[in-house]
Amino acid sequence: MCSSLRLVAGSKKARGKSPPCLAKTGRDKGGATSLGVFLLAALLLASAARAETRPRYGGTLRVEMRAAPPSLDPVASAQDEGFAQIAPLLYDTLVRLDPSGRPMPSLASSWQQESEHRWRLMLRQGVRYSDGSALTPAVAVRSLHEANPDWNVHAIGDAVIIECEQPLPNLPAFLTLPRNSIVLRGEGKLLGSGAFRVSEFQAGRRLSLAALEDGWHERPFVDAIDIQFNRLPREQMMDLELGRADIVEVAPDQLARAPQSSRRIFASDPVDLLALRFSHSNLRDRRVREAIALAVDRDSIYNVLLQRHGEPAAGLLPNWITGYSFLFPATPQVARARQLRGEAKQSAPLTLVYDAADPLARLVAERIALNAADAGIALKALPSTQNVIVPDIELVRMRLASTDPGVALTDLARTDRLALTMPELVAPPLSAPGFGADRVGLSEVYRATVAALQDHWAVPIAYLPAACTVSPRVRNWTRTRDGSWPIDDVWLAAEAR
Amino acid sequence: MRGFEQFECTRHRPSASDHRLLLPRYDSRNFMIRNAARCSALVVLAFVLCPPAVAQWTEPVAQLAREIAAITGPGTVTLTVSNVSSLAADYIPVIKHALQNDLSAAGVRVVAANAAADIRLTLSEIPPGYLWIAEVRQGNETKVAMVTAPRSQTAAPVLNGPLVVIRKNQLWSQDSPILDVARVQAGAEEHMVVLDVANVSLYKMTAGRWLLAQQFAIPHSRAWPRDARGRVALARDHLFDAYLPGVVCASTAAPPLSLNCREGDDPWPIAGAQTALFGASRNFFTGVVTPGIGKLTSVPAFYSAAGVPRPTYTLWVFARTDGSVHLMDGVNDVGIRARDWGSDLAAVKSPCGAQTQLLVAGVGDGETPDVVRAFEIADREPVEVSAPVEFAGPVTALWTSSDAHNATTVVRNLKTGKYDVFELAISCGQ
Repeated sequence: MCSSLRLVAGSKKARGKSPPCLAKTGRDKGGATSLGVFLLAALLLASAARAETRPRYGGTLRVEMRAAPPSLDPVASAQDEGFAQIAPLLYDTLVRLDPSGRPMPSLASSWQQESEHRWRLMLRQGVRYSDGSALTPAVAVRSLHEANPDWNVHAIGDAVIIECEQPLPNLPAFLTLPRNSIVLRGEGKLLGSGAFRVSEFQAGRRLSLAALEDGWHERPFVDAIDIQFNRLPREQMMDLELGRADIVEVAPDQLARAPQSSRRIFASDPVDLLALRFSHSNLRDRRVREAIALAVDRDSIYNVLLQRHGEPAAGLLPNWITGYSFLFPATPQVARARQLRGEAKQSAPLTLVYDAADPLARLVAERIALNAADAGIALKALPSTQNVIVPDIELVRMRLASTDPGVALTDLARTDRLALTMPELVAPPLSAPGFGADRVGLSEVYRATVAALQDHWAVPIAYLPAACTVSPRVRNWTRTRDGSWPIDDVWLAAEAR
Repeated sequence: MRGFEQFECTRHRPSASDHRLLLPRYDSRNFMIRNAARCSALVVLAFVLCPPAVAQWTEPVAQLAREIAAITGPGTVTLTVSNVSSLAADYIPVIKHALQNDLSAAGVRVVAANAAADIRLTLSEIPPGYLWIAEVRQGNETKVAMVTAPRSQTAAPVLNGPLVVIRKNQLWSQDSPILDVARVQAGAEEHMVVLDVANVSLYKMTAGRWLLAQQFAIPHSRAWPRDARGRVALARDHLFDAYLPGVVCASTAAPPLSLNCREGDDPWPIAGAQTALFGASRNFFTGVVTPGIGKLTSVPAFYSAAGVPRPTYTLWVFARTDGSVHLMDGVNDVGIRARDWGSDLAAVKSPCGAQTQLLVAGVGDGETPDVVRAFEIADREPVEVSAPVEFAGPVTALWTSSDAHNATTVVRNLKTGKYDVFELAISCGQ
């Protein structure tokens, strides 16, 4: 061993004036021996001399995703799922949610509800943007006003005051949405206070980020992140296999094959709602909509098509954030569906359009067409590439905006992708206790969900998890319940030498 | 006691186009009598039937009973309970009994069959805690009442005693990440210094327990690095020094203490008089060492280092940031075979074997339980001399104590989420 050590050390100082063991290093007997020992030493060192528990700084993390945010503006990209993933790297919000869904301080160090319509938030001191300028109340006021034009936002000293004609019972949780990121706007630039700054952005193609050395956040382990957008699941997986990507998404249909893969798959709790959206102009007869809702065999879709990933959905929010999904029965009632269809006298075939780029959507749409046929309703599943002008029904997929039930439901109601009609969530009394004094109660969310679904303009089908897989050099990647990417804490293992 | 929320309305049925929302009706008659009965019943349940956590559910159970009673009115009901949450099965009969008692106090009697209403209680769960949902069926109508309840406090796990060679003794456990812990003697009193990123806390041993004596916030102007590290070192002319990235604190000599912190890049003690500079915005030592190791005043950056005394020199073991492990004696720098070694190591003196063993954390991904093993460096080849001692999570810190007779290790317990601190020592003849 000592002779091999000498070769690695390669130092003339090793001879003569060295401690006892090193005296043995002069025992080489010819070139052949040296060569053999060298090879042995090289083999040993290459394969075994590793110590990789503590996080390592450095390296570029390569990420691929299917989404393609058109912009990095939190307001313009508010509904973009890809932007929601990358926004926390660049921007901060006044409040963040902890893993339990409780609002926690972020850029706001504290807050107080002064009345049902007015909140006061105190800004954290010492926060700086990526150009070194400081966070001021004026910056926060402008950002919040851009995102919420109907709010009256102004500053009093270091405090930001938010007022609205409608009650704002859930404001802290609402402020965690990416669109409420506090950004510094000016001279065509958009700066954030996140742990990374933008090096390069090509809309729809690529985003390069660099770690900030002296931001108010802890310095990330990785030096840079390179994100490629608009990558199909198959392309992402190929790049991962070829060592060209470190983090890629795993599509729900790929999850079913995960057990055969040696890769580590990180699947969230169910966060993507798969639902039918009925055309308000084409399907005015409520009985037809209800008949289709009753005909869908969600358990079969969950067991067979989703391979038991996710959960059947008859309510709008997944069980893990509401706890009450069993109150919405998901079992099909085909006899009742037939009766309704008979009463409605629906005979013309209906069109059901699904995302052509999503293999799972095609399978689900075809299964729903079969279920509808059992109830006597002719439903034709068509890919989105067929350019149906006004489809009777669309199969849509949406990511939960928040793990706060009140905020998530409000967001679903705001989007036109589901076209829900939902009553305002009623504010609990200011003194009402709960998990968070500022949360809209679950009972209120339940009531609003019942009301939103009663006319069957939208029919929930299933909730799907968001999943990803990482390359072997990615360390400290952890599963998150909401599918967000914990990139801040990730580090990259040293390259094998 | 956490709060609650209540609600009742008709259950959503896709086949029923109409449903109506009902306002809670709370009958306050005989409230005091009911309350007394409820409390006494819960006290009996809490102390006789078992789990202490039931006490924190007194109010949620009472609230649920009030809501159910407001729906059913006085009379008989059946009650079935199903648990779809992570709540331990032990608690279910306790909750059921408590609810029965509260219902009884409200004039609602639970019977086995032929009741005016059927109650199906589902113990569900959401991220912040438990959600208990009562579906109350009367005829064809089903109404719903919900309450939220705090999670039960799980007891800290009892850790096993010492194994074959490495003895582990749990010193402390807390929710926030711990950087280092040191036991100090101040006169006849035994103290413990706990260093985390926010505070230096001084605990005093009182009647066999560590009680907080003093706590000092650590001022710092820049954010700590991720994977922040820190050390507590005993001092000769005062009680201790605390080292954090870019910050050094010095205590006074005896309790009650004061703590003087300042920003600075003073080298951290590694072992004995050997010190090394720590990167203020990183999680590793820069490689600058004082005094020099032999003629070397700098070495490649490293996460941890340990000195193994030899008769005429000290052999230094470095866990470098590139993942390799190197031995240095002041002249030579040689890589060694270090299979399954993590980046944390510490040398500990003992009366056994070579009289100094190297404690080495295992290789984990930070999310799996870790082990610490003891090695001796025989002829520059590490030889494992102990069975691995297992921990309930990844090792986040491993430092040699100031007297080098044991090591302090911090483990992030994956079961409890807490940070557990252990004192590790070597025992012979196991």
